[in-house]
Amino acid sequence: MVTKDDVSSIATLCDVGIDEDEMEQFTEQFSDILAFWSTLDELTESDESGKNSNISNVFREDIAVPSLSQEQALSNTDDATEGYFNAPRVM
Amino acid sequence: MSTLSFSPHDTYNAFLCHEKEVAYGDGPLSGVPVAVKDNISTIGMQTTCASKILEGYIPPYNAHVVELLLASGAAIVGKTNMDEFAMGSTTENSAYGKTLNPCDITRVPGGSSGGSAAAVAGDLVPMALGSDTGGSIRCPAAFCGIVGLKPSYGRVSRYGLIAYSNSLEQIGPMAKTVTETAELFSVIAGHDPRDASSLDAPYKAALDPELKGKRIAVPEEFFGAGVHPDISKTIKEAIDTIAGEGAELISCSIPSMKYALAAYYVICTSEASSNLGRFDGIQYGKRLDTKKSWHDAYQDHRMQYFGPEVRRRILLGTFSLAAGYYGRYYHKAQTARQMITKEYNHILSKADAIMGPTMPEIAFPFGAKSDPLTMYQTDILTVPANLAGLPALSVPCGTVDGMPVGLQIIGACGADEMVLNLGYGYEEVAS
Repeated sequence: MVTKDDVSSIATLCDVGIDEDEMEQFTEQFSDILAFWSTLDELTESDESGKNSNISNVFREDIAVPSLSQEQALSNTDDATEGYFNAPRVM
Repeated sequence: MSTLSFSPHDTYNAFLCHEKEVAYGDGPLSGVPVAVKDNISTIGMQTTCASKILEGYIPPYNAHVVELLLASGAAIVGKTNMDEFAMGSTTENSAYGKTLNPCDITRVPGGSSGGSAAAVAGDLVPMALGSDTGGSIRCPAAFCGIVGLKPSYGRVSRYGLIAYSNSLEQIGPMAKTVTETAELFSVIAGHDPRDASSLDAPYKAALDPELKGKRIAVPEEFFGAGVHPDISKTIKEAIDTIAGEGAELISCSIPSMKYALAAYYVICTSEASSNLGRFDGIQYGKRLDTKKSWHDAYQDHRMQYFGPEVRRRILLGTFSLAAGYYGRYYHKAQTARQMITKEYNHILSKADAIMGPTMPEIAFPFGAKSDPLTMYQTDILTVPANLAGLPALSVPCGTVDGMPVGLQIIGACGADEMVLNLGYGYEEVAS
């Protein structure tokens, strides 16, 4: 059973914002969805390792190649100062 | 360079934007109008993922598939509507209005590549690109009566595809016939060093319609609870037609299918919760209010510009990865994924393909599934191919109540040639 407090703390954790009406609705929906996910409870550690053993890392040499120019990188903002993105204050 | 004029009578809201004069070059697709799903980056063309948060974003680089399309001479005519960030099965979740199904405008076109499917089915373009994370090419292909291929994981580069769930998604071709689908696939498949999961496996084969001697596995789970009996009947008739041409049918069972949907939604929401963290309103898209403090600004921005389904999935993914829940959800989902992969691979070591319905029902009316869990359950037959990285094709195979039904053909990893050949063989016999 999911509570409003659970949803509220998760919403804070992932910074999506949530209002009171949604809180009610999401809490109810999450209870149903998590109940559905509980079908996975039947699986035990002995079923499989839980890790995908068929995959491996793909390495390459670290070679510099042409990239976006500063102008291109800033082309989607109108809020830049001296070639830097402006961001909100963190502290 | 030549140009063509493009002015579609888009009554379906298939396009989010389109060009009026489109340049194209020489090559195998010279002058062919191709529509591109709006989560695929295109220089100079707005790319929004059908989200308000990316409104105004014009990519400074092209996706690998777009570079390949341009090199093939194709005319990229516009960007198609979709569920926001590819999260949905109906295209109702677009921030720019729903897309209508050309077969019946009161019904959903499927999703999330609903705009691409409607553009093809409505004769606005002969070919389109979609992306498929859990069925997003095959579902709209089935609902709109066209062909759609979810390639094997790695055969098409994801460079420039705005990421939702990296370990599951693939870009793929959509068209009215298997021949055109294969033509578009031959242009976009191949190695790209910018995508570490990319395989060096271009598609060069000529289509072969031979069905005789092919071994077709028919899992009972594809005809079980939740699959409409009329869909089952139509699909069984199509499979019988294929058997009538000399294919051998093998009955089988995939017990791990019962975990597929839960595993899929745990994995895709977990990956989404990480991927969508980048939409912070600083570098692109809608601007963040930089006068507020970081958390207030970030939360308000994402609440205002992400739609409810996107926020729901970010929340669910964060939940499944949170301390105390990781072992119960994410770890178990990976276990299920491994079991599913193993069972599919085992069957496909003895059969050339698995066949069953693409969707458990026909396209339903708008608003028919307002509850998210009910909506998620429509993906039950498509998600296993994504979990196991397998190629899967949807081919039209008749109608139920006047609406198209899609036959799903799933092959072994890397056997995209086989699924296209079987689809082509069926198409030839059925026509």
